[in-house]
Amino acid sequence: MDLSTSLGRLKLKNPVLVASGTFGIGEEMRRIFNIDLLGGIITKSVTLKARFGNPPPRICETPSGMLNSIGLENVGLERFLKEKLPFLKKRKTVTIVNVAGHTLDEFVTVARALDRAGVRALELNLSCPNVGREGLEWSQDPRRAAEVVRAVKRRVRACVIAKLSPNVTDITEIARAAKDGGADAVSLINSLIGMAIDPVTRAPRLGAQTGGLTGPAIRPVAVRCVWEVARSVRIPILGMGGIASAEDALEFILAGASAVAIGSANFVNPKAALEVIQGLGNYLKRCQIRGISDLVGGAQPHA
Amino acid sequence: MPILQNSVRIVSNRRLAQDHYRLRLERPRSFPEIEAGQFVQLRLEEGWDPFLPRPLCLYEHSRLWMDVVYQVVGRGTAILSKKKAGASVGVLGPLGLGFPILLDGDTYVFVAGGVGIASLYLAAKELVRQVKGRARFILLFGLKSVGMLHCHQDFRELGFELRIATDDGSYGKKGYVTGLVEQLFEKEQLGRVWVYACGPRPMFLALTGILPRFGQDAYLSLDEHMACGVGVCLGCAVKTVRGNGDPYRLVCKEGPVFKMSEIDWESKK
Ligand SMILES: Cc1cc2nc3c(=O)[nH]c(=O)nc-3n(C[C@H](O)[C@H](O)[C@H](O)COP(=O)(O)OP(=O)(O)OC[C@H]3O[C@@H](n4cnc5c(N)ncnc54)[C@H](O)[C@@H]3O)c2cc1C
Ligand SMILES: Cc1cc2nc3c(=O)[nH]c(=O)nc-3n(C[C@H](O)[C@H](O)[C@H](O)COP(=O)(O)O)c2cc1C
Ligand code: FES
Repeated sequence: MDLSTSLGRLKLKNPVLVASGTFGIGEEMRRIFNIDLLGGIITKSVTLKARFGNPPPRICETPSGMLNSIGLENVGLERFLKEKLPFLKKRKTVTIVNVAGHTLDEFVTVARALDRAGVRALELNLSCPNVGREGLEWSQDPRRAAEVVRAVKRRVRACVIAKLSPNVTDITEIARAAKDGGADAVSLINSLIGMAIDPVTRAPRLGAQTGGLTGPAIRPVAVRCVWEVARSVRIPILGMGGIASAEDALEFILAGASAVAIGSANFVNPKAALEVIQGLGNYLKRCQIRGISDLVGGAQPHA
Repeated sequence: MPILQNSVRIVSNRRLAQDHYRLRLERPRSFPEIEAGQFVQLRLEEGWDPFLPRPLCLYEHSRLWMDVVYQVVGRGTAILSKKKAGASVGVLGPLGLGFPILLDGDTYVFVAGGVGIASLYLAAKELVRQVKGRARFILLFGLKSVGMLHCHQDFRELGFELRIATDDGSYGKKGYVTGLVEQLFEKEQLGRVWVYACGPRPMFLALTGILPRFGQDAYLSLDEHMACGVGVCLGCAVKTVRGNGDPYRLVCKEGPVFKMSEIDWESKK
């Protein structure tokens, strides 16, 4: 029974990671369980300068999910390298550092510094607005998406994973652009843009008005995105969006994901990722399948 | 310190007053030591709706059990109120940094608004244990109406002087608890005072208008919407008046107790 898998060049001991922004770097979660058992840890987005985040409230519960408007709060590149990276380097699991930026230069600067510091894999968060084109996300324009991936790829040795937004008409077009830019893999999906309004106060429930919808509510959208990309672009996929159990993870793997990440479910059940790892192992045993990679993309379309 | 995540059995779930309940949970043997003012996250259902766990302060505990006192205010607390002894809930805790136990006071003033009283009892008990006989203990308690009166007897038994206000005048003085605060500080010689408070936001805002006039700060237990409860989602930020750098602090990890003077109250208006 073999749970090991890979995302392009990146080898993973098992296919279950934790998603950016839902696990910090693991310092707190380590008080609850042994995080070295994870397939990998994806950090909260790191930007060049420290960012303080959005005004509260930043969290709002929604049916089978939640909205958040954290706003890429992080300590910035310099402090990340000094204060966070040493902890991650000591872990017996893969670290993927998530990088965000408003300009091409910001992406490249942060990615290069992390690469030089020995980070082996980077996830580019292409879902923040690009200041060059007001309001539009990097991953809403295939040309810009390809451009930022290419610029980073050219300057780093690390494995580069492009994280795409589902807030587009055709996600395969963006995935293809990321591949053309040289991405080693794509992460699907980031949160869906959503909103909630309180009828009592007659105001938006989030301080930033709108936010990202995550959790089991978005799982069907995420599975569909993985399915579409897997069937039209040859690139390894890291699947996420509402995964809370091994059954959920299997949906993504069968749709074509080589690995998966647990996001908001960490807030409800901090050991969700461990349970998924165990559940996947049990499934392989029960179905007498040798390795998890034999299942990737195994779902057959109906005639 | 480790944090325990476990499914635990409900020992009892007793109605205390209108919309108020006291839930007793079996305390797992491996549950870490609890400090006054810490809280737990309760996962109410096995499924995913309601999605997020609910943060609730620990009211009292022994080696074998731990209690929370809660008010039914929405869907999650309504679900909780219908749980029977023998059922299970998910517990994550203990979480946060509690109240400082300051031993050099002449008078300890506890200010509670509604169910806010639930986060104060452990600190009261601990302080009384350590300084009883050497200091005066006063509880100022404000609530909507007499039907919601609860927990005050526990404070009386600790030796607290009780002053109660109700919005509708059905018990004690008519008006808000902050009226009692003003009266106390204006009329009495209290010596060195420590104030511990928890209540709704309007109560906190009113305190910021009263206590500084008497040169008095306070320790407040704040609430903010939470997802993880441990410091990883960055969802429970509260704005402080910290000068340079990040003004936000996390209520779940760096709180829920903050000094009144640390908070940027303009951001809360
Ligand atoms: C650290 C901390 C300790 C608390 N201790 C107690 C306690 O001992 N007793 C008690 O009765 N209440 C306490 N509260 C408030 C309690 O968490 C809320 O009343 C409860 O979450 C409401 O859930 P609901 O589903 O009934 O309400 P809904 O309004 O339906 O909840 C919707 C969402 O909003 C959140 N929410 C609503 N009100 C609050 C609030 N005041 N604070 C934080 N999140 C909120 C819920 O958690 C949920 O995610 C505490 C809050 C915090 C942050
Ligand atoms: C509170 C919160 C913060 C997040 N922060 C980031 C982030 O900084 N960068 C990023 O690329 N994605 C971030 N995400 C998105 C997740 O990594 C993930 O793509 C998304 O939540 C979908 O997975 P889920 O439904 O399992 O949560 C965040 C999600 C949540 C809930
Ligand atoms: S609730 Fe997640 S950081 Fe405080």
